[in-house]
Amino acid sequence: MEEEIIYYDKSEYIETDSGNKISRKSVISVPQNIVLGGKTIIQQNCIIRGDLRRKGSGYAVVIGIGKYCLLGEDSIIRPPYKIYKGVFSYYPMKISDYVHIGQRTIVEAARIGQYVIIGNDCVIGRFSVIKEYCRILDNTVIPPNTVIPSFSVYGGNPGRFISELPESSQIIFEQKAKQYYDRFIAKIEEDDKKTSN
Amino acid sequence: MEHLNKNNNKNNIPFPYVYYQCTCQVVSKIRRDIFFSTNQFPLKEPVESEINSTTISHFPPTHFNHYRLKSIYNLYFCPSCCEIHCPDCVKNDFLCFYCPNCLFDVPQASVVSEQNRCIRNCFECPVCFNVLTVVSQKDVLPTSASTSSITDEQNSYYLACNVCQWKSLEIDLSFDKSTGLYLQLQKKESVLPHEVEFQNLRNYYDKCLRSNSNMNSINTKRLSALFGNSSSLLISPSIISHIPDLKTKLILAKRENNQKSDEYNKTNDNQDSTILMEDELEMIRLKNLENMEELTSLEQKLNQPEDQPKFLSHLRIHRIPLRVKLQTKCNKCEKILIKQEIQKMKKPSNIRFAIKCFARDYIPNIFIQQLIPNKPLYKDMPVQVLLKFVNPLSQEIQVSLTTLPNKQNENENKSKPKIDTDIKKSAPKSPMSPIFGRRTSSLMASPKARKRGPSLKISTAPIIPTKIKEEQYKKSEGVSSCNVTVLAKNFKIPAYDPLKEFENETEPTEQKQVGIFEKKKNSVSIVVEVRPTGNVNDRVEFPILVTYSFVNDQKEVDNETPISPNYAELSHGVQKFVSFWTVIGIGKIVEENIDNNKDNKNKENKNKKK
Repeated sequence: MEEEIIYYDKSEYIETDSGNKISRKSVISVPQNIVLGGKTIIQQNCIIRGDLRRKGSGYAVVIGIGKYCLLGEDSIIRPPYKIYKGVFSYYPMKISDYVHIGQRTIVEAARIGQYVIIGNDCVIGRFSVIKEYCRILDNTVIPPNTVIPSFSVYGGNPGRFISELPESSQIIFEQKAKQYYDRFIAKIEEDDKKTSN
Repeated sequence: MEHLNKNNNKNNIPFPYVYYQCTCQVVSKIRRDIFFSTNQFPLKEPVESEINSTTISHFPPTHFNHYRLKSIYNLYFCPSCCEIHCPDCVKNDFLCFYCPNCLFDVPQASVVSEQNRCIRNCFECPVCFNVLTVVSQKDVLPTSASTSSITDEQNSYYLACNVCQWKSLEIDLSFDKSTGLYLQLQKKESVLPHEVEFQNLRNYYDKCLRSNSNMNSINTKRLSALFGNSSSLLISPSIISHIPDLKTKLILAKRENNQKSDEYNKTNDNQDSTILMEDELEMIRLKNLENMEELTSLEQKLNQPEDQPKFLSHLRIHRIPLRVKLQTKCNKCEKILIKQEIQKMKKPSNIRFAIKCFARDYIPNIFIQQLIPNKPLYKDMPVQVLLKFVNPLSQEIQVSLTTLPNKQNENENKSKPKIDTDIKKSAPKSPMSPIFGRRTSSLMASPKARKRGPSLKISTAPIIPTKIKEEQYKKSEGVSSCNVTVLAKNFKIPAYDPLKEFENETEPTEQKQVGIFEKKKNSVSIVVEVRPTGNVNDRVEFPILVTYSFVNDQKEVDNETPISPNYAELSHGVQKFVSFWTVIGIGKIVEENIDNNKDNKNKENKNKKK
């Protein structure tokens, strides 16, 4: 079944040359430190903390986000921090391609691999590493420093291994991510189509 | 997503869906039928060899095995026997062991000796089973002045849980170095009573084995492994009498063994008294208990089965259990269906596949494209379902569809069992007429394939039980709560061409076949009319038999196309048939709106009157 098209208000979103769709209602601090891979959707009231970075001069990629990602409404992307040898500092975060982050989810992971779906209302703890092809169920709390291996489903509070994913998850997740981007269409375009027809 | 569905009741499977029936379902059904008709449990082999597209067509999915129906993404396809396989009917082998935390590969030899647990620095919290992290005591001290006073030599490390804030200091465990924790822990663990006991037992049995193997040249090691220590009983007295030297040695060995076992029991007796003492102490402690939080939960006890401690302070840290990567094989021909790429000296975090035979790369993928009209389903209100068939093969395929016979309108008001028998009678007893008739006609079309025709006929003959007990079918509910009409029962789907993938050209509409909605690159959408006939809240779902055939017109040398199935026995130009059943669910029957409104109004009126 082809899923329903999600319309958004064209005036609310900025579309970049590489196909990123970023809501004007989102909070993106210090965009110079943030890299988007293209065709990524950032929905309203998202908070991306590009300002939290290691002390020092010059630019540094604080948050790298791949292509076909989705940052759901009210989600918070914040680089992880720790005290190392008595010095408090933030560390960069990397989010790979085809990663969906659900609504109201807080992410402080060090690295999220490709094809990962994170549900709504989750907390991904500091310095956790999520490998490729994973699924985090809704309302999961992943404790800090957790490593989640490939093909696993995690859920619960604290988040624990629940089951394995089928080998074909790559195809499912890729389709899902691409279809979501294709379904995410500006409202005005629809009117244009009607008039042109 | 699928794992969630499995746990739920069948009624909770969300709509709409397209599920496939695996070949193993047909095998189990045939075996059940043979068992009912002959009262003998059939062997697996002959049944499996009878599976072909015709036999599959006789066994439509019933409502009972909803759990066993799979989405196409969970199915595998064996290219050499042309069969669909589900995760329940494949063979799995270990490919590699790895720790889920540090992601290091553990060689198979050390897996057993290290008790299937990580041998590096990965430990799980005994209280909440999450991963423990190494913390240096130097870091925790807040003031910088005190940290400088501690030199690296004095510094000690302990393990802490990030979830429940448990610290290994609570059980008096700290480490001198931050690396090689397991080696440091191993010394402490080796003193524990259960470890000592195990070591004693092992030494004892090792001695027994050695004495036996010294006794004679016969490989008693293997025998004693099978039958315990009674290997002397296995040698018949006649043989012993023939070899005089052996006889005396045997008697000596027997005596030694008896002595040894006596010794071993004695040590056990001594330990019993100390255990009794410990038990009493524990009882006293339990009586004086003030805080319930000192006690362990059931889960925590089971995590430490060797002593099952009652107090949190008796818990020990455990190394993280290993996980395994599996390789999947066809259970019929042993062909590898799924194999991940494993390279030596590379971390098991590599997730590329060396071999993958997913069903979606071999059989037509079916999607529900659209419901016309896309509204709630009412009884007797026909809906049109657009089914999209996608051909993943690099050859053109011929698809033919069959549905179960529809219920007659007159039967609607009559009792359910009768309708069922009508369907069942017509389904398994006379399936030859529609299905086979169609097949012969398609065979006629390609003269090369006609040779295979008779073999198909013969193979079906012995396997279908002649007497099908109707009672057992009566138990099953109505197969479908709807009438289904498929107009386009035979159609062709063009080959999948990766080069055309990104072209947007729509093909010219050549003589449009009845019932076909649209044709695109390698997909065909057909119209299926569904008229729900069941009661309110009945699920509208129907089985469709899909048979597809293709001619292997590719030269065998051509191995460039990765998705082309490598049919070993299929030579050039031979037509091949593959069948499978699908179940398509589109929704639940809803009570008609007019009635609803009336009811609501009546209720409101009544409320007002009150």
